[in-house]
Amino acid sequence: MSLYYEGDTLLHRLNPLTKLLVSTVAVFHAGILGTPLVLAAHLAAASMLVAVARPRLNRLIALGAAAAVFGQWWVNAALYHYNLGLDWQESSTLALLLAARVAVIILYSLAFVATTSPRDLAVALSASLHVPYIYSFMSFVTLRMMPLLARDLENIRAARLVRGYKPPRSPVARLASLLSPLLAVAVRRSVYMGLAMEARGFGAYPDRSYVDPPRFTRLDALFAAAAAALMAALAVAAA
Amino acid sequence: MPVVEASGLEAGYLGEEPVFSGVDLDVGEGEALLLLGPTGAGKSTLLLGLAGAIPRLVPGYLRGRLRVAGLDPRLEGLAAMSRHLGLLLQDPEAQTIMFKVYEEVYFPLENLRYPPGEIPRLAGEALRRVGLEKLWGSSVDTLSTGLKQRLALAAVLAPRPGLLLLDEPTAHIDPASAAEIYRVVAGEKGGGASAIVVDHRVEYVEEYVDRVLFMSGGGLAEAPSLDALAERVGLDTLLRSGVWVPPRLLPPRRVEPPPRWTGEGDVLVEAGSLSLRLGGRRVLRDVSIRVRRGEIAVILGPNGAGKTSLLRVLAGVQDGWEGSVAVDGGPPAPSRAVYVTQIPEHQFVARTVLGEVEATYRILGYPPPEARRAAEELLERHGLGGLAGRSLYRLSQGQKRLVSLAAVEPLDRRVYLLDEPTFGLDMRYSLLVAREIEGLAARGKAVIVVTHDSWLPAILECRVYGLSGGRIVYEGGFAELLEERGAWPQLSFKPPPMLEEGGAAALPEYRARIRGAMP
Repeated sequence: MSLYYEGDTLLHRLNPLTKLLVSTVAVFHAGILGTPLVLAAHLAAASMLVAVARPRLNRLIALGAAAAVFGQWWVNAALYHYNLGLDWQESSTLALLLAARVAVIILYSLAFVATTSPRDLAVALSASLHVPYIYSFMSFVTLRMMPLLARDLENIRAARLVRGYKPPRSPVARLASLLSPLLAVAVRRSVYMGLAMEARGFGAYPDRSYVDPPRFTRLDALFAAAAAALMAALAVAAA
Repeated sequence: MPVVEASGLEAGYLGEEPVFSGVDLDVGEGEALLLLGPTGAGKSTLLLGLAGAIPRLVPGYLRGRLRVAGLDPRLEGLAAMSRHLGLLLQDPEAQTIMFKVYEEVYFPLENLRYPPGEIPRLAGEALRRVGLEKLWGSSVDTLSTGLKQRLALAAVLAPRPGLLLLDEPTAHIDPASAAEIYRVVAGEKGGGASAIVVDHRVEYVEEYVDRVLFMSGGGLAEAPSLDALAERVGLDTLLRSGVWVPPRLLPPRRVEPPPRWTGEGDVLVEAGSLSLRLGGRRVLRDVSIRVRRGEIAVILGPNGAGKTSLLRVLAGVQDGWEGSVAVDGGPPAPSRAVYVTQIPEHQFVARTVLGEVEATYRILGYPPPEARRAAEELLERHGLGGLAGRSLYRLSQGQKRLVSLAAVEPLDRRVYLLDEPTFGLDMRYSLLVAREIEGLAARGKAVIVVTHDSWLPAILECRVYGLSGGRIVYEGGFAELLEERGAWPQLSFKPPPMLEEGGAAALPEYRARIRGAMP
């Protein structure tokens, strides 16, 4: 399922490859340097980008992400304390830095996926980086199937509820009983989609044409330069 | 030059007997063919073979002499053949690939390396031809199933293929959308395109085709029209094959429905001012319905009208509704009604037919040996005993539907909710399902049926609710609906041609002819 929504924010106007490059470098920068100052700066920058992106987040997903970060903090703090014998203050600080890295990854990814159309990303990868379009398009076609499969799963669940069906106790048998109908429908849909794609010339030639592929503009250059300057300054400060 | 030239064609799937053999076929420029035949006769296999999907995409073999647009599709493959032909399949959900309407039509043109400057114009033309030009920038996910199928057709038509291969393109959509699809195809034919159509719903397409082909027992029979085909191969053969024979060809026969429920007619389903919002969209608005014991209520309406959502609320599997709803004397709950889903596989919990029915008896607390015995008896009673050991997933769509109905029978609840029970079925299985519905009502069940098939309420004694945009816009008998033409467009309703022409006066004769064909 895609978190992407249409919009006209600064991030929506950037080339998907600029966003991909900057967020990937930023995640590694935060992960490798990892000082409190660097992580705080990345958290602030990523939060600002998320505020600009204004993702339409399902409350459950937001809660899940927050719980993952918080959970990682205290689990790691406990591990540092009991396994390495660190005192609670030290172990909490170290665990907090680890959790901050995870939060940075989540926030940058969120800003990226909320403002990048899967189709634009596929087109940018193929048109600018010459990734074979068959591979770049297949990834978002898989994404296309997800809502259909989610609906199938919901219908299977509803039909079982109505019938009063109690799943088998064995986890393997339980999984098999749920997956059999889902797989049968999913395989049929996938075959159909594969046929439909080839019937529309997908794979007829090694390359294809693109109407309005994403282009690099001055905005991309400015955004990348600002990000590079910030990361360079942080690297100097952390040294 | 013929667009399709085939002789001595034989096709099959790996490790299996040939699906057909010795098939000869020629299709001229601007010619349209209707391909009929029983399930498993090889209609789809033939289309996939002509399109180049076999053997590269679908593992199988296709032997014999074959030329399509002067090329051998087996060597070219489907993607390369798409420069010359368009293939439209039945499930619109699995055929829409992109996120925006215009992107969907750009997709084939970009794949086929059309100059980027020309693509918006060609896409615009294709969308105009199917009447979707106003939805240019809309999200594909907001379209109804019928509109999605028209969009899929626009994508197929955009590169202006010389040959259209249509495999049950109207199976998932409402009658008005189905008629619209064939109006567009007729326009393409007028422009010189050829077409081979596989469709059970012959009433929408027969006026546009030049020849009718009947595939059965591995061979092919041909006639200039359905009437001529019925004379040539025999009406009984067509009926046994499940072909939707137009009622004008069927002899009227008096076949009475099972005796009606004569017990007390308590109200078993009652909804008042029912509203439902899903994902920020109002799906149901102020819906009121009332269904008594022994009564059949049929809910008609266009794709996306809220019909399935209404059934889900009544089945107790949909939260978030407002208003008053009572099902069998209490609030809707999964234990109060039997809910039969549109796709039979969604219901399956076992691997074999016997296991599926046995599972229901086990749910009801039967010990294993008794559950098995009861399941065997039930299958025999429904004429499905021969399928007991078969894998559910290897059954035909019609067999799956009958098994899904049989498997919930032991629950013996008083309310039955059936979502598109005749969806994608041929005539033979559709009429068997109609008989099952009548049987439920005769046993005093309240039956609510959601359907796109306008022939179904025509042969059932039922009350019709017309749902459009989440509201009930029609309530009454089917005969009255036939006379109330003003309500048709809102419901995307299109009765069978005999009733469209003759109105309510033709209903008794229509019923007698269709019911007379019941197996």
